[in-house]
Amino acid sequence: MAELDPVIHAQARLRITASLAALGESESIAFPRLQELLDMTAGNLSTHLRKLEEAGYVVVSKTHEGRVPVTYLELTRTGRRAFEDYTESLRQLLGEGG
Amino acid sequence: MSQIPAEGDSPLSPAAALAVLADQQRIVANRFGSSIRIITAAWGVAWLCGFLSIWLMDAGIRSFTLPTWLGWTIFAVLFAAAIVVSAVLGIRSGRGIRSNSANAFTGTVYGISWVVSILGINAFGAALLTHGMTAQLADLFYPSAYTLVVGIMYLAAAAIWRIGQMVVAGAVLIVLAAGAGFFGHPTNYLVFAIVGGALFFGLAIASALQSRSVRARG
Repeated sequence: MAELDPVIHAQARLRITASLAALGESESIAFPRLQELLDMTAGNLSTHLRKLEEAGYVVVSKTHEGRVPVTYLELTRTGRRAFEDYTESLRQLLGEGG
Repeated sequence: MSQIPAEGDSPLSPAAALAVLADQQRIVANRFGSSIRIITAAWGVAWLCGFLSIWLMDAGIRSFTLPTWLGWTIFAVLFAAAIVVSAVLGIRSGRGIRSNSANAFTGTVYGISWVVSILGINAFGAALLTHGMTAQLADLFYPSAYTLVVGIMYLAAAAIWRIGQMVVAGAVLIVLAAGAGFFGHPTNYLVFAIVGGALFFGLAIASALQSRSVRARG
C-alpha cells in the first residue's frame, strides 16, 4: 500500500510544493511572488515553508536586490523527488495507473 | 488507510489531495500561461495584418491598394507592438523568478544571438544590395532571411528549454522561409501573412486549450 508523505500531505504544504515543482529545476521564486500564487498570509506561508525546509525539501536563500532584502525559495532535489513520489502514491491510492 | 493527519492543517482524503494539487497546478499554469497566449496572439496579428498590408501595396487589388508609406507603417507598428507586448509580459511573468548562473548565461547568450543574427542579416542584405541585388529580389530576400533566423532561433530555444511546440513553430517558419520565395513578389508576402498568422494564432489557441484541459482535470 502506498504511503503518503506526511510532510507534503497537508493542504498548504501540498499547494506550496506543487507551485515550486512547476518551476524549472534550477529556478527559485521570491517569497512575495510565491505568496501571490498561493494567496496565503506571510505568517502561514513561513510556518509551512519552515516545515518543508526542516524536511530538506525546500532551500531558503536570503539575498539583497539593491538595498532590499529578498528571500528566494526552491525545491531541493530531494523535495522534487518526494513530490513526484507523493503524486505517484496518490494516483496509486486512487487506482489511477498504479 | 491513507488519511494521515498533518500538523497544523486539516486532514485530506487522497481524492481531495488530488483536487487540491490539480487546482494549484491550474492556478500556476494560468498565471504563467496567460502571458504566452497574449504574446503569441500579438505576433499572430503582426504576421497576418503586417504582411498583408505589405502585400496590399503591390497586389494590384484596385480598391484595397495601400500607399507604400502606409503599408510599411502598419507593418512596423504591428511588429514593434508585438515586441513591446512580449517584453512587458515576459518581464511581468518572470517577476520574482530567479535562475542559477548557468541558466542566466544560457539566457543571455540566447538573447544576444537574436540581436547578432538580425544585424548579420542586415549587413548581408546591404552587401547584396551594394553588389546589384534589385529591389524585387530584396523583397524576396529580406522576409525569408529574417524568418529563417526566427525559425532557427525557435529550434534553438526548443532544444535548450525542451519545448515541443517550439520545435513545430521553428520547423514551420524554416519551411515558410525556404518556400515563400518560390511564389515571387508580392505573393510571397501573402504567404508570410497566411502561414505566419495561422502559426502564431494556432500557438495562442493551443496554449488556451492546454490551460482549459488542466482546469478540466482539476
